[in-house]
Amino acid sequence: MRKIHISDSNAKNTFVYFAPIKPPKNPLKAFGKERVFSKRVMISGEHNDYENLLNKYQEKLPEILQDKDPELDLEIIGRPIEKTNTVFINKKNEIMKIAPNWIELIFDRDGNEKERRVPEERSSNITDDLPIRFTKMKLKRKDAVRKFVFTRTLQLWHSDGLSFEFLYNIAKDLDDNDEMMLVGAGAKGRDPLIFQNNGLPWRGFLEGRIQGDSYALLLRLSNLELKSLNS
Amino acid sequence: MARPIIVSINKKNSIFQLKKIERKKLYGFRKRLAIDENNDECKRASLTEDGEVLIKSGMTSQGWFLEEGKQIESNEIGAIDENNNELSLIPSTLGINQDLEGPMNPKDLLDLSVTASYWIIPDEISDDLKISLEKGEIWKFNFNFRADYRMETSYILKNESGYFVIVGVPNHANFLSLNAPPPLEEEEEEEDDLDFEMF
Repeated sequence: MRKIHISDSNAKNTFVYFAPIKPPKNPLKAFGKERVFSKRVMISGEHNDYENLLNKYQEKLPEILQDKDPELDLEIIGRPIEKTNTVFINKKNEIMKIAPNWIELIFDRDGNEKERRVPEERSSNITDDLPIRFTKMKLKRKDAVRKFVFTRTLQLWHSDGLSFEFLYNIAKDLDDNDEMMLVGAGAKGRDPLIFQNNGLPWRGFLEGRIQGDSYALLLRLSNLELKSLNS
Repeated sequence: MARPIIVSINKKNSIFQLKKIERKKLYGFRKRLAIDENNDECKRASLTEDGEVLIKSGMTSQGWFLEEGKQIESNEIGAIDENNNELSLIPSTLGINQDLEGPMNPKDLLDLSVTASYWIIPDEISDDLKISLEKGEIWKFNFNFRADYRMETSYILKNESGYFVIVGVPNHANFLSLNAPPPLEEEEEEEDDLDFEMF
């Protein structure tokens, strides 16, 4: 079970569990009432792809394709693929014996390359010594949903009586005021949340709900604003 | 061009063209590229466990099979629910008038498991809907971009940047009491590596 280090508005902090709210499952694919399962299968052999055949037969390729079916490797086609290992191949289609280097390409929103650089490493920041903290940005629910697309939700979860009270009180305060609180990570508590190394940075808003003696404290995550594509 | 969204409130129709909102289109994106010692691009491939077959991009395809192994053609595949009931294909809602329900509580939209969001441009908008959306109200309607075995739910709203539709499947969180058991162990999900520049 994963934990997150979180502080409240009084700078009290603790580690609490969190779990994703999973989306409802898609309908199951079936043939009549019988479930079907997907498998990956081979559809061509290593030496039978267009590039190889063109190199081999050149201008005679169309005729040979019609008469001799060189693209079909009957020993391979239809073979189900089970376990495989990832490898990298160079431009001569040879398997590399040493790990490749990486560069990062940055593209603008029109798809034009802007920059090439050494990739930045981004470490997870939710279980650091410094807890994620409340920022000064609070939004009414009706304003938050009209500003951001919340595509993921994590539910914060107590592990004992003290953490129950801690999370319940945060949820109640937010619910009573119909507000969502932006939380941030890092020394200044302003950085986006990164849940795994080199993972996506997310903006997280806490939303609380109360039902009698029970609570739901939800970390609503967004990486997309509601903006027109012209802006 | 996709057919428009048509919604109605008080029997008056509003018609919108739609454009999908994606992070790439708003913020740009970044991509990691593997290179060899000569700075030439390398491609990712797979090697079967026995080391016999090198699988490059385009050499495989997905097939559908019954448990006993018989292959099923894609056009013969339908869907069932968790109780094994066959589901009917629900047509796309685009170009077909949908009644609006609301105004809705923003909590309902927060509880949506979002599958897509669209910037929508009005060809025609009724006064009632325009006034309501300008007040910050949110309305719900049925939405399927294409025919599918479940109907999705969507919410229409407006902000200073324009009109938007957020689409998804209703979901909810459970309330936790003091003696609630800890959450179940979850497998970690892989994330796409995209850039983030929205703040």
